[in-house]
Amino acid sequence: MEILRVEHLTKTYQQGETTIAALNDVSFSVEKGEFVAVIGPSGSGKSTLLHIIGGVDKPTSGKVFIDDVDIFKLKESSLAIFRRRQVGLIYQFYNLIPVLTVEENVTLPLLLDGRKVDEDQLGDVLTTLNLNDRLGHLPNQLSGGQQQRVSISRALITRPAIVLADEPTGNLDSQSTAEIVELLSLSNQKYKQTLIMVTHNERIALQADRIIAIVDGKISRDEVIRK
Amino acid sequence: MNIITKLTLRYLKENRQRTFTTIIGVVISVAMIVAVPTLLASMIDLARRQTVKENGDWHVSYSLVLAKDLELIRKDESTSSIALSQPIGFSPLEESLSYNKTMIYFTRMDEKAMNTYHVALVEGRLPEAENEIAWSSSIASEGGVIQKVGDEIEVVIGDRIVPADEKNPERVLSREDYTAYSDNTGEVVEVFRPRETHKFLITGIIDPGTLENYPAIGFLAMQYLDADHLEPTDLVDVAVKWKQIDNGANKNANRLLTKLKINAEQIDFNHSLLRYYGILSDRNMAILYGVGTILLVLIIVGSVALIYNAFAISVVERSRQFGILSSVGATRFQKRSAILQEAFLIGLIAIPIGLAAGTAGIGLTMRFLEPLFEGVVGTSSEPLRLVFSPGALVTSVIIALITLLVSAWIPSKHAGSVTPIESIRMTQDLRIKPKDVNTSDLTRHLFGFEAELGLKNLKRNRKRYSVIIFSLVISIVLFLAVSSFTIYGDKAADHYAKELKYPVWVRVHSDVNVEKQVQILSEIARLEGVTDSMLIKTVPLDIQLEPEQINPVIRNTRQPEEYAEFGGNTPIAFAIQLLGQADFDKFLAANKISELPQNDQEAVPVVLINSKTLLMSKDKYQPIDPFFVERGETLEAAVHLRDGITEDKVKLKIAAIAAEMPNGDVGFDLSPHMLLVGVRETFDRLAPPAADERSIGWVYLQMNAADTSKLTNDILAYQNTHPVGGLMIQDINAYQRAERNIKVITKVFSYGFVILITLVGIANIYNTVMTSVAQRKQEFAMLRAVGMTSEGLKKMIRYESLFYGFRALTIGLLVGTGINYLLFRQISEGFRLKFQLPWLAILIVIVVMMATVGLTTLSASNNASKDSIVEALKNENY
Repeated sequence: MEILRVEHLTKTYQQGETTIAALNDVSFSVEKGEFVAVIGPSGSGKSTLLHIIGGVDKPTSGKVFIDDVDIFKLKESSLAIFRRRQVGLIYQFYNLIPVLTVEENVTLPLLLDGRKVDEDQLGDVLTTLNLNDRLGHLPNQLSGGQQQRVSISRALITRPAIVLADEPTGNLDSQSTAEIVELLSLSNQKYKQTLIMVTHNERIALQADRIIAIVDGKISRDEVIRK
Repeated sequence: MNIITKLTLRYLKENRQRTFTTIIGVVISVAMIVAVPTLLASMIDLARRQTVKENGDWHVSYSLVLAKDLELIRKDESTSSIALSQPIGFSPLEESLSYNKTMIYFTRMDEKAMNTYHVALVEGRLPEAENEIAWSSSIASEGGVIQKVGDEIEVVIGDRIVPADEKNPERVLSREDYTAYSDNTGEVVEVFRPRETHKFLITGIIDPGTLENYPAIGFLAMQYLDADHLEPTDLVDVAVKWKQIDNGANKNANRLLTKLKINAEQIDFNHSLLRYYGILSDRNMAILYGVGTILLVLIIVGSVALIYNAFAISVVERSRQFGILSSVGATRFQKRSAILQEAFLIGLIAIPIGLAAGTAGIGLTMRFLEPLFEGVVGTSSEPLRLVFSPGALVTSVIIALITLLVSAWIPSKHAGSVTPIESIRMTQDLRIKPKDVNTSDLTRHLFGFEAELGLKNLKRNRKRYSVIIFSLVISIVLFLAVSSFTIYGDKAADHYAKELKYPVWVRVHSDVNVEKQVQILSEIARLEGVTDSMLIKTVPLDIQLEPEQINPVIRNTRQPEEYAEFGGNTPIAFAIQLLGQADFDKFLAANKISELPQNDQEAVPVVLINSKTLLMSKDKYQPIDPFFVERGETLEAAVHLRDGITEDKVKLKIAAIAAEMPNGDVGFDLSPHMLLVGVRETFDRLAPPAADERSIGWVYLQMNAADTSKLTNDILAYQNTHPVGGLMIQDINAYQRAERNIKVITKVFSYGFVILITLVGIANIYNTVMTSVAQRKQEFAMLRAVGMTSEGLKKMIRYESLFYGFRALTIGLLVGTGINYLLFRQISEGFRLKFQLPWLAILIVIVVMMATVGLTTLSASNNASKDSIVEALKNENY
């Protein structure tokens, strides 16, 4: 079942006199439950792609369908609510809110939605990500790896259609990196969670089912490495 | 609790210092806001009490109601209490020395009515029997008729009648017809029709309270009214006090009118009191509310400009937070509500404190200013009291909430539009172009690289930069505007506030002849404490001038009608001030004129006062010489009698010209005027006084004393013990004291207002500098990492603030001076003022501005340079 379809995405920036294309006619689709790694060198456009899929950046042209919804046809507030429910975002710098506890940071999307937190589901996610004994801590009391686990939990809590991770290990030491990639992989398998991860690290990419390589805003390679 | 609220609350707690300063700012604003309606309510309350004191404590009165109908009024739903009185009639008081009070008004009153009209027993006891009366104290003090308690008097009581003529039937006048009834020509036409002769025993002397208003024709004499012994057909006047003073009671009063079967002329509302309840429309109240509204608008504008900044900073500071929220799906509304909730939470704390502080503050201010109000509202004014008005409090809360909401509105819109990508990438800084942060090489040469970096930092965030500058400019401009206003106000008032040689003036205001007047005034001049005095008799004269003796400017000024007569050949009305020989010599000495022989048998030697006329030209008053009369000239004058009839001519020889009038004043007049001074004896010798002397001129005494208030009281005491009739006493010192007090009061309020606005401004500067430093910790760490010393860092931050202060001062002082000039234009009309910069205020502005910015920056830069480089660099989340 197709969960994401990207059609002819183009994103250009105006820089002085010259126009720079961050993305140049990119099209692909992702099946439900797939773990996709997007790789490419710095400036190749991979992060831009991820932001557009997550609906936090807008393309110059092209369309993104998540669960058959054309997300850029949504009004701004509907897009926010769609993102809240259907998209989970993980960043290199965690992007946690420093004044909220671990538990509050994790459940933030649910709280914004005014939904009651499903304790079983929360417990399950927190156990999976091994955060049970850190619930009352504030982000600055945690290590980098722990903070990133909070950020992953936050992305998973709503059981979104798709989780987007932008260099999730970019800021971590090698031990934490291994741990995080393993957790992402685990959540992919355990929750059948569709996952798209941007990285410039080929070795991490090899943990995914499929690798899409982007060079100069174009897909240069798209191969399934594991079924 | 909603997650956004929780987040906002934690954010506020986290940034304690900033939250605290913002709260202080809002508290001050709210305090100012609540002070306005509270002050207004207190002033209205004062006006009400003062009116009750002067006009009686009643709301509506019905005259000539049948005693059997009294129950209707008493039982009415609006009625709180009723006071009864019963008119008996008038009796002429032939011996009265007063001009206007020539009769005694007899009435019956119950105790309630005595309270209502503030009639109080001074001596003896209240009347009880039918043939007993209490007698107004003013019959002695004003009328000069002295009767003691225990005296028996016989009076003829009757009615004042306006006889019937072709058009109107006969009319009986009542107490409400204050003055003698005269026809169109001014001739008194009322006559007295006697009814009965009565013998009374005077049992007491009463203070007539409000019942003997100054112009009233009758002195008060009172019998006691026992409500229980009224016959059903007796007619009584009823003064009603309402339970609640509102439009309902007002309508009800008119309904009662029909029930009582009396006509509309028999109902009278206490208009002067009811207008202070908003029941009757009133211009003064409209002005009061207008001024209040303008003040509130000023405060709101000032506050919004300053509080706005706090929320604008918050948005910048929280924009990363909003980005994260946005990336996990917060809607625009949710982001926006975060800032609005911040405003609300701050209001929750600041508004109650502000209300309390404002009320307490205005209460204290009023208590301290209270002594100054004496003499401002009236000679015996009621004290100014703090009034808690629920309406004022509710209004203040609403206005404060609106102020906060308006302040947070635009920042909240910005918060709503923060996109996740902006916060993730921190693209705000990426958007700037090199030319945005262009600085001139001069800066670097003059102040060094750190200063240049500081200036670049300012330019990097133009929006915030302009917000802060705007806030600072508002504070400066308000301060300068108020200072200029006070300076010009002072200057304009100074024209009146000249020290006078003779601050106390007394005139006999009764029917005694000039000789007697001179005698009374001479006695008063010998009262203890009088240091200097001068007795002046003024006689009006008609003088025929040649056309060329009149300044052509005046002759040709046809527009103001009063000048028209100066073009033709009609005689001009002048006045001559006649002094005793000794006073005249004193006057000559003061003007350095040698003695003038008084033995001329032909003409009276007079001194011409060289007074100028203020003539409006080109929107300004210009002083000009109205007439060209030379020394040595002899003028022929006709002595004025009443109604344009003139007496024999007298010759006046201009023996000298002086600059000052006998009272030491320099003459300025709006209408052309010529004043002559001569010796009384010489004038009387050459122009014998007319038989009816009081019609030609009036006599007054000018005095000085170390303590003029005491002198005034002594004169009043003299009046009560000597049958002199009325005295008109004017203490110009007291008047000037009141003027000065008004100025002090105005200054306290205007400077208080500015100081508070400035405090809000200072809180704002503090917030801004602290936040901008805290926000850029990482940047500072980076600068230090690449080798900037702590000293260099501090220098950079200081220059940054210096540029802020400098820019704000430049704009603020320019705009402030502009407003100063506009004020000057406004006030200079009519007064010869020179344009003047408020130097002291400008100096204060510069010092305060620089000190605030400097001190804040000092503590901020110390904080910044103390942080560990590694920690700050690592701190990614802020």
